[in-house]
Amino acid sequence: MMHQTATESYQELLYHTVLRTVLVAACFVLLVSGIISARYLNRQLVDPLQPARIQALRGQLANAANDETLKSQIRQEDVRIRDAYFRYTDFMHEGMWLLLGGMVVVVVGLKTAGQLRRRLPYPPRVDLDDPRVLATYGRRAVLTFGVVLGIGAAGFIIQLGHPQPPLYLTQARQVLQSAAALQHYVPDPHEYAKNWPRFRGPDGTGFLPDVTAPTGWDVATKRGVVWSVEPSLPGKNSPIVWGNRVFISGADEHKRMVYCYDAQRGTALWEKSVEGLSCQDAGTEPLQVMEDTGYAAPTMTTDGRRVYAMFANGDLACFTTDGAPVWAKNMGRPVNTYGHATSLVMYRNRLILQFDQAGVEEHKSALLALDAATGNLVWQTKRPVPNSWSTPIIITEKGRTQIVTCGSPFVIAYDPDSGEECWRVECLGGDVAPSPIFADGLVYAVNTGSNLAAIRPDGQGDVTKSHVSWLAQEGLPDIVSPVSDGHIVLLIGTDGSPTCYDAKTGVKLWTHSYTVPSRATPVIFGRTIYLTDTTGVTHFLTADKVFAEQGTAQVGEPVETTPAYANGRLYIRGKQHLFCIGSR
Amino acid sequence: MHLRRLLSCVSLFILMPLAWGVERFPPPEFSTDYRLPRLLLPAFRPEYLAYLDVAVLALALGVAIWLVHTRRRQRGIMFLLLFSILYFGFYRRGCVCSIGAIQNVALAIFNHDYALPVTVAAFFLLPLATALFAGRVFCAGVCPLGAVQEAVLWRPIKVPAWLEHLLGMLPYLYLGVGVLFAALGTRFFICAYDPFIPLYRLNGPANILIFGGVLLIIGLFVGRPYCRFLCPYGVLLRWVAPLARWKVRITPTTCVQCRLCEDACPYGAIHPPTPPPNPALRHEGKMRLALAIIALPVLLALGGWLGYRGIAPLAYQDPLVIQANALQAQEAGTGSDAAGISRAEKPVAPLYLQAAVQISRYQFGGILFGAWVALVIGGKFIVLSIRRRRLEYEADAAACVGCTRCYQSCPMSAQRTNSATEGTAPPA
Repeated sequence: MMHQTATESYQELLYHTVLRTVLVAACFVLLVSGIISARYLNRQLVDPLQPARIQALRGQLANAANDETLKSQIRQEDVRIRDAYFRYTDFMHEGMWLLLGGMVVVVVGLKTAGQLRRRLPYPPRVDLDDPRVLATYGRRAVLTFGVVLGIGAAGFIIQLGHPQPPLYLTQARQVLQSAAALQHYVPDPHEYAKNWPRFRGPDGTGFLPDVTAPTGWDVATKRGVVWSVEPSLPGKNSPIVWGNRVFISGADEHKRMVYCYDAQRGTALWEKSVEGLSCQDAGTEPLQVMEDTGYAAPTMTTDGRRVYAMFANGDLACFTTDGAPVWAKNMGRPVNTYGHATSLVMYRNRLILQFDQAGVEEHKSALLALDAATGNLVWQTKRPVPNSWSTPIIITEKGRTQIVTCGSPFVIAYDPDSGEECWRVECLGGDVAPSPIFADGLVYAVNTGSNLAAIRPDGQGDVTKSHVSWLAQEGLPDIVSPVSDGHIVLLIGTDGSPTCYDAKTGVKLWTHSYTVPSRATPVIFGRTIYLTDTTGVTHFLTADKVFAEQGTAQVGEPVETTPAYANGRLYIRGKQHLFCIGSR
Repeated sequence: MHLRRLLSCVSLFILMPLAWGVERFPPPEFSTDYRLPRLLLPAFRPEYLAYLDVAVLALALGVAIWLVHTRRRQRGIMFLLLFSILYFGFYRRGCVCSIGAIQNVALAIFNHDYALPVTVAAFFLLPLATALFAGRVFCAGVCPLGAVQEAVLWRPIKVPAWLEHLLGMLPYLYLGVGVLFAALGTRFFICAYDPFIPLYRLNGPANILIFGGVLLIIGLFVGRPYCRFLCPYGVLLRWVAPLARWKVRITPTTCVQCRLCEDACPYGAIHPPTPPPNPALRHEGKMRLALAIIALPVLLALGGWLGYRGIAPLAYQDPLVIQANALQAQEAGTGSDAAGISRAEKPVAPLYLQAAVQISRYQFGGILFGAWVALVIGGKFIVLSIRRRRLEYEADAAACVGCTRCYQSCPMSAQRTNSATEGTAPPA
């Protein structure tokens, strides 16, 4: 009993000691909190980022730039404020530690005191409250809260007023609405085929079997020239046409522009600059490209509602066909020996970009599919090739749609929905610039120093040994893409000389020598081959198994781009002008 | 590397409000002899440590399940709480936390340019997934914010039922505010006003510090005031926990209705048995419930309208809209280039479009937020109009944070625990 009493006395003493410690610690915490709060509230009186006195002195300094006394005052004031600021942060930091220490003592003390006077569970003496009554109280409280909140919100709204919407809002919303309407737009295949929406026409082969294009014009005498315009910036890209609109782009080292012209009269409907896009890997060195390539070599593409343009610095921009900006982004500065030149391609509502860069070992080359409405990446597939200048084509063979690409040393086909590789053939080499074509069930790929290869595009995996129908090595081009009507395949060599092969067998049919080289890829309209040399002279050859030249026409200035055809008219881009050829 | 960038972006975004709190001085605009000291950057936290945090969280949740549902002892929970305070609180400085992760998820849903980091997603999902099986064990011993409140609880007092219902709606409203501002890309509101982060970082805005201190003082007498009356993540846990496979059961056997547990729960999460139904009040209760359900769509429309009118004008305080308006004034010749927009050399049209999108987002967000507030109020009224029948004392699975205090007060539970410890069979 005595022992029990001693223990209780000891516990009682301990309890009171702990309680007093807690009391002291609590007073300490309150004191520190009070000092911190006072210091905080006091600090609020001076805004350290907008020191009024310094600003006033700065104002005076503007009128007396050489006043050393004034400068000294500003410096002293600046030092004083900085000193006060860092004293404040140190003070707060130390205060926090003191506060934490005091709180730990309070909490541990209270917990200990609680343990020393532990209350045993005891059933409550009062009867249970009726849950129905409690629920009624709860409902009344909720109702009251709702009403008070509603009145408060109404008061806030009245206080806030109804701000006048900015003037740009209406127009911006119209643009956004039209963009939203275009969100899931996919061009109608028939409408697409009727226009010239990309490099080398709707299917990228440069062959239209059932049209008759103009064959006689002379810019010097204005014969056959409907109109001509002079864009403000140069470009090596070819025109594209949709409906009554012709689009080209132009750029120099500093500026990038997209131009839209009325196809009927040649009047400029709109011109938009592409600027202000940040490029993370641009570095400080100015972008260097080869003069032959220029800053706007990639041909634009359109789906009929939006147009897309890419430039040598990696800027990629999308506008509606009315010129409203939809999206723009920089894809990173292309690491490209001669300058980026691969043209853009559409697949349904996706923009396909073959972005081959640097060397193979740097793993920078990729094929990208972007959402046409937003520019967001849909898929990306790495490519085992170095930088290239070739433009992909989209073909459908035996129900399977594929994106066919060229890059040293492979011709690779991809699934356009997933980006997965379908097949590849190792048949190319060197700097690959010519684009592949597809005619009568065969893909033709070519580059100088390697092969002209005819490939059956129905394989899977590496089909180098199984799906190459034939190879040829004569008259291979280094820039100009081949063209075919399904019966012949025509190549334009480095010197501008055409070489013709039988499309099915690969037997060389004929060759011819020209003295002027060509950079423009030829096209075939009906049975006429349009081959334009670098002086702007277009040779009309018969697409046949024997060489026959029907005549020539010229625009009077150098031409290195591929002509576009739409509604009976040709659109040829020269070094300075864009010409519309046809009848008025 | 990509993930590392994302993590750093998220960290910066989360720390942004606090960085604003700790004001920085720009260097002086004139030259002096003073040489600025070299900027010291904190060492970057290795990527694998972020995954280690996730692993620790998963482990802590596993231990919490064992302690709450198998061990059923408060001492173990207290040790786990101490660990959480030290690791997730003082070591990890409260970031990333599951509560703040709500905003990352909201931002990722409403802004497709933002990619949600895997570790942040894990912090968001793991406690919810655990709640689906074992209730709110995250609150029991893992959440550092709950832990500090649990630690300070001294003499809990019972909050009146009407006040409990009233304050219980605040977390829903806070969740709405947090999601709204995160979705608008304006700020991470929940992180900016987290009351206990300054404590764990020993730094932060004094107003938040005072807020946290006040909550801790209240927390001496009111169990976990932040968890019960503010925590937005608690809302999500409340939705998931009732579906839990293993719920907290006060007594493992039969409730003898001794009423000893009635006062044990400091969080108001134990519901007593209900009296027999009164047929006279049945019709009145049904009518009230029907009216509340019918009125709910009207309430939602009203809330949506008030939200639209109340939130949409706030768009004009958004930095992007302010910039666009300044540009418009400048173009109209009525404003100066004070904002330096022309010097920024940014294209004009995208800025107007972005501002227009932001204004629309505020309007749409305002409607949703207003409707959400109305749904919370109307829903609470409906819930309070539904009668439930209970035959014994039950832990409310939605509100119970698994502190295990009720186990200690229940004689049946204590008897079973003692028997298990001594190796004898529990009573039938």
